[in-house]
Amino acid sequence: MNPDVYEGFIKSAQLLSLFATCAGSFIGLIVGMIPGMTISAGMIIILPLTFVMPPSISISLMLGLYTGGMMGGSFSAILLKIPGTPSASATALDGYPMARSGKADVALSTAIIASFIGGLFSFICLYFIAPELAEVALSFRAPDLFSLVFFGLSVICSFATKSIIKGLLSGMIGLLFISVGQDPIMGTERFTFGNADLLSGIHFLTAFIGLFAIPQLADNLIDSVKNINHETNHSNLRHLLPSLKNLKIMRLPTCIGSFLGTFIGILPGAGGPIAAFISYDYTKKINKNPKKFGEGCIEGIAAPESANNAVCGGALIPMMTLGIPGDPVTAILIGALVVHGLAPGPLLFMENAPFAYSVIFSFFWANLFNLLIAMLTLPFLVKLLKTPKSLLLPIIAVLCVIGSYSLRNSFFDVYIMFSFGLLGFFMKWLDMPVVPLLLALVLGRQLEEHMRIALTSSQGDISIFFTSPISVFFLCLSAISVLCPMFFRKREKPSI
Amino acid sequence: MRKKNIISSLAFILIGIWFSYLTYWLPTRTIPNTPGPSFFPWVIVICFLSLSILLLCKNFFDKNDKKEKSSISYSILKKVFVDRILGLKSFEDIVELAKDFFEKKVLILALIMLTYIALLPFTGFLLTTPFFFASFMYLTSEKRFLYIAFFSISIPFSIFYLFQNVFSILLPNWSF
Repeated sequence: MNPDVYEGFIKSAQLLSLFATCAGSFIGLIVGMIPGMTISAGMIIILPLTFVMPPSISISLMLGLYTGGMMGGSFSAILLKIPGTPSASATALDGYPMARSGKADVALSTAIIASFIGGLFSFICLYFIAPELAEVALSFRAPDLFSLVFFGLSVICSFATKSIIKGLLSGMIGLLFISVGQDPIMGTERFTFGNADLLSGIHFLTAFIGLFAIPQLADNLIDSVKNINHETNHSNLRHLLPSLKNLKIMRLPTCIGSFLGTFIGILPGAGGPIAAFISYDYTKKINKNPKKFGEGCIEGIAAPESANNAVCGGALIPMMTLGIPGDPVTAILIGALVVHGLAPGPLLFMENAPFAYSVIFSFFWANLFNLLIAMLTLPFLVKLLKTPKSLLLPIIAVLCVIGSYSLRNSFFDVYIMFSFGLLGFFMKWLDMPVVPLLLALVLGRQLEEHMRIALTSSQGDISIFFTSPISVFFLCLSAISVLCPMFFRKREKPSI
Repeated sequence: MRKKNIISSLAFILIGIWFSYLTYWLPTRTIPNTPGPSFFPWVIVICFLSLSILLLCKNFFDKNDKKEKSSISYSILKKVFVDRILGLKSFEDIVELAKDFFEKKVLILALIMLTYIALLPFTGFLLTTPFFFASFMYLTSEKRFLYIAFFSISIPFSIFYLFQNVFSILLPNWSF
């Protein structure tokens, strides 16, 4: 066995790492389950706690939360018809009708098992694909890296948004913010207005907290004021072990969801919700009796749940090997790694291979703990759905303030967080997506660095981006990712 | 949505022009044939302005969206720039848009939060957070005062203890 793989496994299997993974899974299940709390918000809130932990334990905790959140979202989708996370939206279509007909235990056990299998499949893909992709990525030069990052941004701006122009504008706003601070190549001050706090630029985690958590607090506040009480339907949760017959029914949809979810997770911008719906839709189309979908069938739960958990492993592949986040959650994971002085990308496997493998194995442990914790504690977890918002919301608000303060022990970051919160409101009012802005904040610096290094090496000759076949390939993909949605949407009705 | 898009695209164009002005004053390249510090901002500003103008044109000339609901049938440009200047009935339209932007409770939350983070550097975490916590709980329609008092003191103190002593993360202290 490869010594790095062995060392990585041992690192991930240490007691403290396992405890962190278990704790992360438990917190993730709760966070994912509570409507109004997203995985990103949960990760942002616990992020400051990880600053004092060793990197491997910090990542174990966050991976546990990530995978737990994906599974937890299905619980409220099934019991309340309100997905705890956007990725669980498709689960509600069949999960809630099944729960309403008195089979909540069957629905929940299907979701738990399918999520575990989806996560396990994507772990296997992550284990085999990531090191190979990292080796390929090592041969990328500055123009190739620029085009790759550009492709990542353009896919997110065009695919993940209703309006392409607004998606691109959101990305541009993020890139404008990234220009604030010192120029990465020459160290020149840009847009700092003489303020020393702006010299180091705007920390993207501060922006994350403001853009994600603050508008969500406001939404939850409005819900609590309107006294929106959610009736739960969990009368029978005693028999959570699925029968052999149900396991046989789950086989094909789980396989479809696992495969689709892993593949879609690799693509930047295409996250859990897209994977879940595509998997549901495809499973329905190939089923002998598609009419039963929507009325409470096992296949309708297994397919989306295996897909949305498989997305986790898929998204980790580009994150670890190329440093490109597939979704906001992996962007936060990148932030967590950067805070600990580790740069995700191909060099991670070269310079710190045991750590890279420990992350991969921690992902496996996270899936295992999700299964065990969900099976053992589900009746207790469901009671947490009744946590009063009057307690939950102020706690989240205070943790947001502490989180942004503790990044650099600076009140300026707290003001930036609040400003981004207001920006988040403004963008929501405009129906403008926030994800492109956030990912531009993560990728913008790399984009500029690679572009300027490439142009410096070519003495300002822009054709360097069109002479490398890898660069041309990614630029073509970028053009397709922007033009294709435009073409398809024109055939429907454009909505801007 | 059309009105919002037009207003926002105009705002973006103004922001783009402002950024162009700031970028103009950045140092240019010192090494020939290499991009300087202002290169990337110029690329972004030009793309940003182009997209803002595109958004404006698309909504301004969009003939499909004429049936947008409005209490008044005037176009937004006429309402805001013509009627407002002439002092006719344009305020109603602005109020309608403002109501859409801010729910009352959200506005109060924003003000409370702003006050909290403004006071935090001076009064410290332990003195300010209980008041913020209590205000927020009251805002969520929690009316039981003993309940509010208990949790608005116990939870901030617990968080303070947890962060300072367990996680060794320093929180803002009293600084008078």
